[in-house]
Amino acid sequence: MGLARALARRGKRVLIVEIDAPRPNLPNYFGGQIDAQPRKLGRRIDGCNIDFFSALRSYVESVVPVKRVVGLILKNRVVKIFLTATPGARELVLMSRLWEFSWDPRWDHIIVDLPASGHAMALMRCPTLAKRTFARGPLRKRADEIIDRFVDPSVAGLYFCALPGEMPINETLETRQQLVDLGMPQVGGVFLNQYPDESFSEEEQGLLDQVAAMDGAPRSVGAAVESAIETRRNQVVAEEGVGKLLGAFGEGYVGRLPVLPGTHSQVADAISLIITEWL
Amino acid sequence: MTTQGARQREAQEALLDAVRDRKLVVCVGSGGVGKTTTAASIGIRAAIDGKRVIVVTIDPAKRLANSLGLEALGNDQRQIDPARFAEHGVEPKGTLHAMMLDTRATFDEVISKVSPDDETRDRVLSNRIYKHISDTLSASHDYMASEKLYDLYTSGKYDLIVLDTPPMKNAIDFLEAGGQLARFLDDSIISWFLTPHQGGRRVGASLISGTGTIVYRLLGRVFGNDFLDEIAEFFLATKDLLAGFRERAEFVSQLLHDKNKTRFFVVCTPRAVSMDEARYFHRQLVERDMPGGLFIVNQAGRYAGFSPAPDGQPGQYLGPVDRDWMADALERPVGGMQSFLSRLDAHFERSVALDDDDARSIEGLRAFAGSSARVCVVPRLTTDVYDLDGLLKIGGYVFGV
Repeated sequence: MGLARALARRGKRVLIVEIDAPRPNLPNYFGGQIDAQPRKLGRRIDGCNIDFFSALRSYVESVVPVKRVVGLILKNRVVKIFLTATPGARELVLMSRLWEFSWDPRWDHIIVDLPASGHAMALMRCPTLAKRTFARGPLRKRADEIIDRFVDPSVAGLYFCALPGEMPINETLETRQQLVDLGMPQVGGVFLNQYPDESFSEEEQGLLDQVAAMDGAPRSVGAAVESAIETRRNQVVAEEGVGKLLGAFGEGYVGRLPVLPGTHSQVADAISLIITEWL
Repeated sequence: MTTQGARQREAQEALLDAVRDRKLVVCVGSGGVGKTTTAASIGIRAAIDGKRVIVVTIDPAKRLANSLGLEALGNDQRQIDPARFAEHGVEPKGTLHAMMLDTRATFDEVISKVSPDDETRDRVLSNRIYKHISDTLSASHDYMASEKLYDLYTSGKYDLIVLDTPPMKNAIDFLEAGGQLARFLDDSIISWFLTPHQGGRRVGASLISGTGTIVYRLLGRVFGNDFLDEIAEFFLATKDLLAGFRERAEFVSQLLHDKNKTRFFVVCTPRAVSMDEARYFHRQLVERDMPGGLFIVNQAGRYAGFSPAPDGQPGQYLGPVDRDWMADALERPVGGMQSFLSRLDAHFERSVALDDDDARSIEGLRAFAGSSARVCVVPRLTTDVYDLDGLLKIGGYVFGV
């Protein structure tokens, strides 16, 4: 949301897309309700939550542009159960919907809020798997179209959001490698959220350690020093993680965002101000 | 005991009862909330109490394996050396095993198990649609976790299985994953798709009755006749496996609903996104009449409710007395440390503000979950959990013993 607000602040028209989210996040930031059709959320910001059936309808309509016929297919009980349960069908039609959005001239940028990395990889992998499975036919054609479009770095890029802990950073690196192996879409950078602040010099760290080792400190002093040392410790872990991320993503592709208190919307606003500076 | 202390004690007792009485504990929650660490500490507690326990994780972090005294975790069930516990002054009456879910290996294993013979197994494993399904399902972990659960439970080797589920945004995936393949292999769907195919080749859609003929032809146009042929071929190859898949899916579904055997622990942190996930998952459990109502809130702030110094400036936590004490202790003049002390104070002010947010979130969760739910709060530790001591410490907060 912070990135969308930053882009909108720069005059860009943005669409934020959630993927089949049972309880979308967008209303937490913008209020109101959203559904599968894009609707206005704020100045230059639209949003939607695409679900499997709306994406399927859109795909079927693109192949058979006769509404009555589309209805006949989608209302059939067996077809409905079959398509809902067919592994991979959901991912392919959702990717197809994103592909359609990518051609829509109403927006300069489309930001897709992907699910957690395992599910996101299933989505990204799906067109390649479909290409491998089907030698020809409409599904193969759409898979080719999706790959051709999203493999182009001027069209699509994937950015990670992670916390600066050991496990999320390792997961980010593993997923990045899987995407590189897949070849689509181009891996961009990573946003590290809740990056621990550091405002103490080495000498001051020494002073904090000295105080921590002493007995009889007033309660406030003990707590303040303990808190500062904890932040420093977290930062050491985070710095090690940043080192690994820089090695993989490259200089200039790892953005650090501080720990920010407040509501969803307040945090998104604060983040958008930081990102606006980077753009 | 304060109200907060009493509520914490009630939550700890409820968690302990669940671990002692149930056969399956499922830890659910979003990524990065300490779910795997919590699952490991639950396993340790149960082993100490005399259970034969296995912790199934999807976390490939070597750190977790090391903290349990293993070089690494794999798809095989590995016992934690009892000597490892003894080193930390603990003597478990039971045993603790751990394993990491390897999704690809698991899926092929399932096919082998439900196949009536080698020929069927090989036909399925070499089918292109199977490969597509296998790749898609393997990527999400949900289905595989439920399959592995079936194997472990029916093996009878364990009194308690602690399942650390994958981090998931759509948490319902796991609850429904077991039925996904069974639904795909539904009898009516298979016969509908196989009707136009006789003897392994497409004879004609006209064999389907009613509007089905038109729909079948339209499907051919929308998805391609090749696709329908591939699907039919897949169904032909797998129709003998139907009973096996259904049996497994139904068994797991019943187990997850059984209040006497299973308990879900919703693990979260006090951060807004994680709390949203926890509330959402709790609702899903309630809607499905699944045994939930227990929350573990990890990484809770330790400084919530900390008061500013009474003798300081408004909002200042380090008052003149505190500052003087520091100057004396460090043998430096207060004047020379003003900048350092101000930043230390400002840093602490931010910490207290964040921890106050945590406390409000936790109260919000309690109010949301209702009086019958229990919320156990585990404070943020000052050091990372990297060994058995750390896991025991977490267990101490979770169970109060």
